[in-house]
Amino acid sequence: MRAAGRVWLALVLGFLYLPIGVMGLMSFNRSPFYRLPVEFTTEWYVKLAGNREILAAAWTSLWIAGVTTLVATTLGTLAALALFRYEFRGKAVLQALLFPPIAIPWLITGTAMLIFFFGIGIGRGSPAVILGHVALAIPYVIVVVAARLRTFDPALEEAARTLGASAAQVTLWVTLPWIASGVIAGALFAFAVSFDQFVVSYFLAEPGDTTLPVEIYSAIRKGFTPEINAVSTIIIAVSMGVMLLAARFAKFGGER
Amino acid sequence: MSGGVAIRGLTHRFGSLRVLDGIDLDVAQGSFFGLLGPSGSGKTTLLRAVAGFVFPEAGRIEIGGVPVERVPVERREIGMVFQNYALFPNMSVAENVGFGLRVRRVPRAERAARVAEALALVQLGPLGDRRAHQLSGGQRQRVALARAIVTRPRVLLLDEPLSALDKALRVEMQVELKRIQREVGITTVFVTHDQEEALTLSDRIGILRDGRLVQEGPPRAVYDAPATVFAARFLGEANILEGVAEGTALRLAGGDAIALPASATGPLAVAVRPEAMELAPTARPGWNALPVTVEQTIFSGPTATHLCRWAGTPLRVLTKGGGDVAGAAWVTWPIAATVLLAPEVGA
Repeated sequence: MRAAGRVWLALVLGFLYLPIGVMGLMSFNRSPFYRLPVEFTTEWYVKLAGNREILAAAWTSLWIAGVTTLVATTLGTLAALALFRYEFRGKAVLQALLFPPIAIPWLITGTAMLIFFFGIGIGRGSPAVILGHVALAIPYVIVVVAARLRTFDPALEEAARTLGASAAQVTLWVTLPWIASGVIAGALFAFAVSFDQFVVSYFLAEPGDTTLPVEIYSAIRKGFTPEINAVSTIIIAVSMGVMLLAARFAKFGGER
Repeated sequence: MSGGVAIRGLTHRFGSLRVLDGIDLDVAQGSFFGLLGPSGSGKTTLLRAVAGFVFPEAGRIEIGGVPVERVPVERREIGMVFQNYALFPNMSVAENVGFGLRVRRVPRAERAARVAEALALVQLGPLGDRRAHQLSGGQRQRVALARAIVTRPRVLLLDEPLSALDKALRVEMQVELKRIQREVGITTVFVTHDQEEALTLSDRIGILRDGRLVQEGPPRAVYDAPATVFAARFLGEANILEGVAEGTALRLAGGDAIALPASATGPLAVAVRPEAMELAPTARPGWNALPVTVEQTIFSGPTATHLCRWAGTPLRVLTKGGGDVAGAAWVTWPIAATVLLAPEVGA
């Protein structure tokens, strides 16, 4: 049974990581036609470094992800604290409404946002992209921070208040230190949601000032080059790094 | 400075449940007041109302003569010790104790001095650098206490502070708590469901039931003269006898009659403490006496409890030493030890 389990695990991991591995390998292969054996080269990475469109898109992606992370983490953490501390009318409804956006196909969300943003005059462009990304990222932040808050003893906040601490002092000195790992994990999720986002960005970004995934998609449509393998490999490395960090902070797989 | 607490007509509801029902209570400055009652009696809500976590529907709360019922917790200048101590896990012992001074922006040097002083008071001097999880239960309790009094609050509130400790430690901490409270001279309100703890620690106790104050007074007085059947049964053990009073005689429901120390008329319940009773082979002149069957004797070292039965009613008699009495005997007690009880509050 155990041996069968291991084979199964190996198959699952292989299925997940083999295509990624092949892509990474090909980004270092001299042949642009995936010819074997692999002849090691960093040629494609050098070419990539000279590709202005891709670099500009990468920069756009980074700063949009940065702003999204900041806004979504702040709002999401405050929302999680409010849900933790207060009982109010409609709280259960609000909590239930947090989850569907995660499940709604991004294509639908993106279309809806595009129509909505045109309707209220924001239109397309980086502000629209950021708003869209923040909306997508907030539920993730709330869920992760709320999970951490469930292990927090509310008596700690009460104790701090009896000692004279204002609401801000209680949050800053007592609550935040406890949920910090959750907030960091939430921030990393928010960053990943934004940085990896294609569909919503595709709908909301202005042509010519677009994010990396959208730029890669356009590039592929023009013709596939090993440069794409190179940039994809970099993105995968960054995303996996972020998610591994997030998993570490969110303590998936139990406490330490 | 420490101040007394005055509570007038305090009423509060959770939904349709009346948890506090017109409480009037005075806690003298510098005294130790024990709030006692079964779970759901409102004792914790009352404490939380004084702390400021519950804003009462009606009534007044004064601390040191100042009305506080609408003052938020953080401005009430109280100290509170929680049932699970609620020590901040991200801070050292010294940082925990210094927290209240830090929020008050007390300069670092003065803060350190006062923290050291408070830690010395609870005999934890050298442990300032430890974390809460490195301490024993008793030590955590001391840290929580030091943290609550270092800001020199006007009143100290204790919510079942000893319930998480084992028996031996609890007795030790009772002594400590009393010493520290006396040394600081701080007005203290203390909630417990442990009657022995309340009797040991308190200058005065109050017994709560269904949101009402059933009885209030010095522990000895409340114990010796419980006001109602509930108070008699809740505080210590009591034998309750019911009947109809005619002057200084009480005709018991099970036949027989006993003498009362004061005259009364109509239906009446009386209480007699088990330790006030004695077992004797014959009735004793000038004492009350009832013929009983001794069904069982439980010997427990210095004392023995005799489970007796009179006219179907069980009676408990507590004697020094374990005199082996079995079968038919007389339970006797001084007439003065017969306590007349009032009908239940609100009944």
